[in-house]
Amino acid sequence: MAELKSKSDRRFQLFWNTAFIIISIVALIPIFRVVSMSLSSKDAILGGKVFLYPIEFTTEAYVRAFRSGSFLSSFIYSVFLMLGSTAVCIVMTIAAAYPLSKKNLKGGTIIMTMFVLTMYLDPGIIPKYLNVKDFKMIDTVWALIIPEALSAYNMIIMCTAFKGLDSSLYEAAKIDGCNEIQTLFKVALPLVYPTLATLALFYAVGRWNRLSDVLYYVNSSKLYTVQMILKQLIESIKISQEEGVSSQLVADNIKSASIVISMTPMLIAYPFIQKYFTKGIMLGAVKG
Amino acid sequence: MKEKTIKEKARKIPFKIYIRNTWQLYLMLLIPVIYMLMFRYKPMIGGVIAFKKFNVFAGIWNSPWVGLSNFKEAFGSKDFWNALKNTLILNAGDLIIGFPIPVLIAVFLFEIRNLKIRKATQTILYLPNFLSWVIIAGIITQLFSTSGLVNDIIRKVGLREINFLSNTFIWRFVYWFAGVWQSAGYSLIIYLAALSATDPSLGEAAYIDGATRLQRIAHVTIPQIRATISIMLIMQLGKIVSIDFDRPYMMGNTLVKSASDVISTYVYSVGLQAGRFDFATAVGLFQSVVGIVMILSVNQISKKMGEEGIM
Amino acid sequence: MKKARLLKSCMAVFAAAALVTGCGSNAGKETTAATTAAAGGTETKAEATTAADKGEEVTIKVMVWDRGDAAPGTTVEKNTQTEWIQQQMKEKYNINVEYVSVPRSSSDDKLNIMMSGGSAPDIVFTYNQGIFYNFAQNGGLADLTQAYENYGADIKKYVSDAQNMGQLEGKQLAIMKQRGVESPRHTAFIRKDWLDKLGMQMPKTKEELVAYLEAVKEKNPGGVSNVIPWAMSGRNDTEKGYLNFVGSYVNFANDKDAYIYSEAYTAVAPGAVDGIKKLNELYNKGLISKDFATDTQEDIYKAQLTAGNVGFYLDDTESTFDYISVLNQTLGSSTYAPVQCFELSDGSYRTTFEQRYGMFVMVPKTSEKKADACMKYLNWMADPEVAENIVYTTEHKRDENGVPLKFTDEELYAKGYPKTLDDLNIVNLAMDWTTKKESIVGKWAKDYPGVGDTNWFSNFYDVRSEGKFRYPVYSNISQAESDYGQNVENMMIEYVYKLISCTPDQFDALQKTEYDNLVNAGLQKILDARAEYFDTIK
Repeated sequence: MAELKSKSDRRFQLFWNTAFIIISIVALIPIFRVVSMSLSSKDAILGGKVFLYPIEFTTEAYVRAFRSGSFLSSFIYSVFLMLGSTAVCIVMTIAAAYPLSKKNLKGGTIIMTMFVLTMYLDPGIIPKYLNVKDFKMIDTVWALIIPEALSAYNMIIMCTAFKGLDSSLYEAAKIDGCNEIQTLFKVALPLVYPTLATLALFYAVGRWNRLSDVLYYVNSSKLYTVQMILKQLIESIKISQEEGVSSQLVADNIKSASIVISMTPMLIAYPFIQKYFTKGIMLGAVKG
Repeated sequence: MKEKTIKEKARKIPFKIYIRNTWQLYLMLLIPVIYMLMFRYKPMIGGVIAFKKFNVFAGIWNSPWVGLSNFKEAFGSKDFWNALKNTLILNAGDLIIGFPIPVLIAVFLFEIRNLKIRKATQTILYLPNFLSWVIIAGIITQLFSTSGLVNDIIRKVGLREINFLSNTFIWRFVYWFAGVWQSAGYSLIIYLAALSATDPSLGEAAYIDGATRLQRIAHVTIPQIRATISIMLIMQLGKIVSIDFDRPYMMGNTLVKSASDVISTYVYSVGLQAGRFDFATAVGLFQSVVGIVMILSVNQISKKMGEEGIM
Repeated sequence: MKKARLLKSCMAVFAAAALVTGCGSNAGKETTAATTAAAGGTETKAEATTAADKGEEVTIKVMVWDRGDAAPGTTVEKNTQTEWIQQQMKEKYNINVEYVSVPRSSSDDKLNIMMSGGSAPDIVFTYNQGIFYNFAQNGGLADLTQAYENYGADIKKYVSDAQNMGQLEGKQLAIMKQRGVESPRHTAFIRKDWLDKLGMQMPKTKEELVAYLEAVKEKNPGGVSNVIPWAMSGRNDTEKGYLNFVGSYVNFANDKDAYIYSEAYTAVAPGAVDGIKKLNELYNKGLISKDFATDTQEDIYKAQLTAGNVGFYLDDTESTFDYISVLNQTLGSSTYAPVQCFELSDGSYRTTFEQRYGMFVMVPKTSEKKADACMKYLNWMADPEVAENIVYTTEHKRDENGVPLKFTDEELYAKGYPKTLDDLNIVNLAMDWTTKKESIVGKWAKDYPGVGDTNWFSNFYDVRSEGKFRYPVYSNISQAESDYGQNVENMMIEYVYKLISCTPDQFDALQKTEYDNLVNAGLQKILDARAEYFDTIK
């Protein structure tokens, strides 16, 4: 390892460390802005004074966002919905990706093609709605889980990860007398933790941000997710057009605070998911 | 070639034994397959409204047939072709600019030994993904308008101001870089995950063999995630005529409309806005067909080139 | 080990999910069961006393908008106010009311979808005439004519003005919600303090306005760093920034022309091009915000107004009060004043006012049997007293002008009311106080103390109503308008923005090509259909 730390290496490290710090700062601009707006007074935002740091600092917006309506209970509900639906999605994805990653599976290509094509099929909202209705899921929490329980895109990524595993590992498992399900749990899954964690993140974020199903498949406000409530807050401008002078606009600081709040579960969850990336590295090393 | 021999081997095994070895795999597949049939293919039957004058109250089956008139309306309209052209241009730019950047970031990030910077960068680059395009577009306007921050700096340096948002040519670049800004973190994670699963000993071996860092990246690191890269590329090529609604809609403005009008916004303004679901479905069907043709052919090409392909 | 942990965490998540979902759906069932049980209980009692005049027990489902602003621990479907309404309906008409929430910002989309699934509530509403017309044309709405005759006495009494908009081919297919205070669509504002500094009079004509704008640009009376004589934004969903100006170049020869072009198509009416050309001239002289068209979310526009850089602007009549108030506070003095200076060729003014009708309140065909009960519900809230109790709660008080006092958000939440109570009041906003100038002015002065005093608002009331005008309007719209109308309207905004911001030598050629685009998108079909319709009714 001492050899690795040569002079050119140090220069390389310095260059890229600096580069990534700059890239990160640029990527953070919108976040800085939203956070500083959420911590500024309404009037300062209106005057266009707020850009990257708070002006007339106040936490009032957070207090109000938390107090408004059923934000808090909806928040908790959304977190559980996200976890539950991610679990379903992951199980479905593995169930599809693992068999399809086997090169000698008869009929595999046809089934894979069938899955891949679903990425390009969009019948539009009305047929989708009627389908959910056929399954009697309208206005139930299932309508928010089942219709998006499997994404072909994520399934293909999972499948690629399985395909990348060393086939000698499977043969070893076979000799040990493992059946396919045992092989999956004992050999394959632990090796694809990084991808699994990534997909869990994608599914979770996807569920967290998805609005169309909440909008169309659910009628009681108890089943609204946080993002739905947010959308109502943010889109008040368009509405004022229609309703004439009687409607009120929601202040920008409250909108921003709501956005920040809605991002927090991901921020909290992300380090835990990242842990699995390093785990993958260690496993890879052991494997080598 | 290699695949063929494996398949031949499989064929040699008697059917009974094959089933005994693999029935669990088929069992696992059963639920996803049924699911896809029920929730992806079954609703497609409703796609027949593309050939109907859809009446919300009569329902899908009782609405009158109108043949190809919805398609004719779309294909006969100048706006449709303009939207299609813009969709292709903007997507091509995303492919050329937006596709390689996350790969490069992932590869170099993986070379960084400072774990704190590595983790922080990875997390931070993912963050803009949580912000909707309304917000990003708002920030872009404030930064790049003629009275914005960037032009203030340009003027202070003594140069002439640039019409980032009203010149269609420059606007496209703003659009593409905003795309990188908002979503590079997403594919970055996929590549990093793929890299995490690679074998670092290979790289070390190469280093000891005297390869320079760039050589090692080009000949060891990238080939290790080559399958992932090619699959991501295939999937993105398949989506060449599909485009997100919010990004062009929020980022566009009247002066660049000739560049920002895309299929999704066209469908919205001509179809959905007026409740014409039949028209929207017709354009959607067109996109589906193009997408399917694209993915099948790209997949074939990539197989011919020796890549694995998806199917 | 790892596998076990993974499995365990999976199981835990599943269990949690099941718990939550279980809780959710069960709770829902329980409450409905409880309410029906309770309803059943009261029903038997009611039957014993005065069953005859209350009629049979009916349950109606009513759409209610969700804006995410219910009080903590309540929902828009179930809160202090909905409970009061439910109780009143039960007592008076033996009607059980249930609410179905619809997210406000996507209300029309959701309505379409619910209708297609046959699962819409019994009372639904929209502001969009195209949607109403489509529903009506496709036979999706219940005919309310009979129910209106039998049970609509209060609607007739208080809000009959607007009801003809809900009629098609002699049938009453919608009940119209009447708007409250009469109000113009847009109003112009000018920096009074700058006028004074420049020693100029309040402009009365466009010529005087242009003189003022030029003076502002040259002399920068406010001494600001970035002076903008006339500020505009690039919002692509509203014509507020230019319509009053362009409209003053249009002369309608007769009612037919006024109907054909109405407000929506003013920008392409005869003469409008001259107005746009004038704007183009002003823009190229640097009198209008540079690159305003790129400011699609009007962030820059808002910031410039509030920072006090702007000499003149045209906007929705009351929506800029917040900006004015911040600016007044910063400068410590009064700044903007309303102004009417867009004279027609004969020197008079034409200020477009909002139509008296607001929403279309409809009963879907599938709920036809409940039309009577729905009408009773709507009729009940047509009474201004009731309407006032819904919008301001039953606990509200009035001020010395008879204007109901609104509770603050905090007070509403403490009592378990949602913030936007008006959403429950779907028939009548025209309460007594909304017709009296003193009451309205008094209310404004109280609601926006930072903008001006009673005198300021009294002047505001007079100036904004100068040349009050309403376009003729009918409930019928053509198929062309229903299919292409919205798109053409958006394209017209683009048409105007492009023409304002091009160079003067491009203007004529661009105008021609852009106008052709509008025609291709269906403009001519729409105008022809409007002309034809006007002829058939005369």
